[in-house]
Amino acid sequence: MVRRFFHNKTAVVTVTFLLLVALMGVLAPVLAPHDPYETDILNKFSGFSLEYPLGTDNLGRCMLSRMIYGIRPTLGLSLLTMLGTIGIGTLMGLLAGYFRGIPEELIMRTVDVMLSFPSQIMVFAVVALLGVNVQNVILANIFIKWAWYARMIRTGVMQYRDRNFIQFSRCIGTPERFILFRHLVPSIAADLVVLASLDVGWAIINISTLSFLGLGVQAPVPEWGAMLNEAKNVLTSNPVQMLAPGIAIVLVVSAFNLMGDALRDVLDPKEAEG
Amino acid sequence: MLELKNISVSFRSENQEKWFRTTRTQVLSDISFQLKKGDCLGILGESGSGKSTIGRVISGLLKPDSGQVFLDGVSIYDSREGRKMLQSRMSVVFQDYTTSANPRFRVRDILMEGISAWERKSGERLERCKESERLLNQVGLSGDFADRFPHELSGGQLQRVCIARAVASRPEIILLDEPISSLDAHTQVQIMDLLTELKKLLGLTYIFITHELTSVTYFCDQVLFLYQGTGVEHIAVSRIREAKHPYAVQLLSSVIELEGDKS
Ligand SMILES: Nc1ncnc2c1ncn2[C@@H]1O[C@H](COP(=O)(O)OP(=O)(O)OP(=O)(O)O)[C@@H](O)[C@H]1O
Ligand SMILES: [Mg+2]
Repeated sequence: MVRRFFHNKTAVVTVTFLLLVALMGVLAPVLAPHDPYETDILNKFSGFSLEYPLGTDNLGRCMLSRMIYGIRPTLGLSLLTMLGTIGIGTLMGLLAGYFRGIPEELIMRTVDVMLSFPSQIMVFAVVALLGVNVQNVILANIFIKWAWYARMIRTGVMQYRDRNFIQFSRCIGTPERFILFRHLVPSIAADLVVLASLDVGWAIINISTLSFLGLGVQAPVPEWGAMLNEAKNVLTSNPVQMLAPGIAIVLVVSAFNLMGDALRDVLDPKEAEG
Repeated sequence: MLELKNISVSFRSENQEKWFRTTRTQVLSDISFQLKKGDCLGILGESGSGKSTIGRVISGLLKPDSGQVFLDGVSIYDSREGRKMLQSRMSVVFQDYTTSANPRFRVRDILMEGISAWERKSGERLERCKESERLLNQVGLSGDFADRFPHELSGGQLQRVCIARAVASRPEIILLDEPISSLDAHTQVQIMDLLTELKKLLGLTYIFITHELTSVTYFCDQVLFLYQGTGVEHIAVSRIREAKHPYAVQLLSSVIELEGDKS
């Protein structure tokens, strides 16, 4: 598998890129040239310069520093959201697909109900209900999205449940634990990875959207969506302000999407090695 | 040692005509037979006659609507112990070898599942590498195959691996659900010879499901003709010409005609 990974250029490039971005976020205090909260009102909206490589924003704060510090909430929160949704979704999907009967009916009917609401509006509703707060944004996202994953995972499980190799395991009395974790989970792992990385992309966009609308991460914390929101106010006079956070979001989200596809190929043993 | 008594199985029909009452199609009705240790029973029937279904009943995967399966006098669907006993003494080989092995497992891991089943029931630790090589040699493959993935093997080789996996748990009965039907004629004969050899070597009992009369006469001691879910004729292969049911007679005569054409 390691060999397959290094033969897949897209996988290597996207994973490296995302790891670098994550590392930058972790090392933000070392890398950032300025304090992201330090205002310098005389120097606001300054262009690209040696001191401020990406210029400054409406309060004269260093854009580059804010971008680098912004990695933390943007990536961190969306990874958290992804773990939550995929975790609950996988658990529910596995339960429903593998054990059938009453648990399946119960879970799938709940899923049906959840999926019959328009998700974006539900996120707003939940956030409005619980209060504008980062925690609530994540909870809302998980709450809305798990059903979708539960359904996808269940479909995957059903595909494999009646395969002959599982029938054989049943026949010779292999423990259920082995069937579940060695046969079923690895079989759906490829789909799971694609889902997970697409989900991070989705979560980044969603959290940024909420921040953009003022419902997510609150000023003055640097977050890419929130920065876009601030930039929007000066769209006509200083359009350049939009560039850095906008491009960053696009790049990271597309990297996650590409990585999903590439990792699926890596995880499939049928892809030619060599 | 194995006895089936009045087995009936039905499935829910695809298109339900009434809303609340479900209609069911009868797939197996009232099948009974006995099998002695060391025998080879052929179950012969056309496609859709319920052969695989009866296989699933015998291997403990599908509880029949009515009727019972006894293994040495113990009913296998009535108690956990019966189920456990069946699991430790039975193994299967399927027709479709492409889905018989987990595509993510190497041959070594595929065999390991059978080996660890044996370790569980005997409490004995085996040297796993040696054992998988021994099993591969036993089915006529070299030990180098252990590192390959299923898609890197030919159909015949993969079916041999499946047979090795089936004997790895050292069962007494092996259910062969059309193990040779998706192979070419030459490989078919090779696999049947391999099975005969293993049967002698390990003292196995076979239940051999097939739709070809020729492989039954080549391979089995007794034959059960299955026609639309009922066992219409159960007869020793040596006396197969005495079969009376019209379906059996028709099958026999078609083969005899073919042989007549050749000579
Ligand atoms: N899980 C199921 N649900 C509903 N109907 C089923 C199910 N399994 C089998 N059947 C039906 O039972 C009948 C017998 O199927 P079975 O698989 O036993 O046939 P078969 O004799 O093995 O055929 P083949 O030689 O093609 O393998 C078929 O008509 C099939 O549609
Ligand atoms: Mg069949």
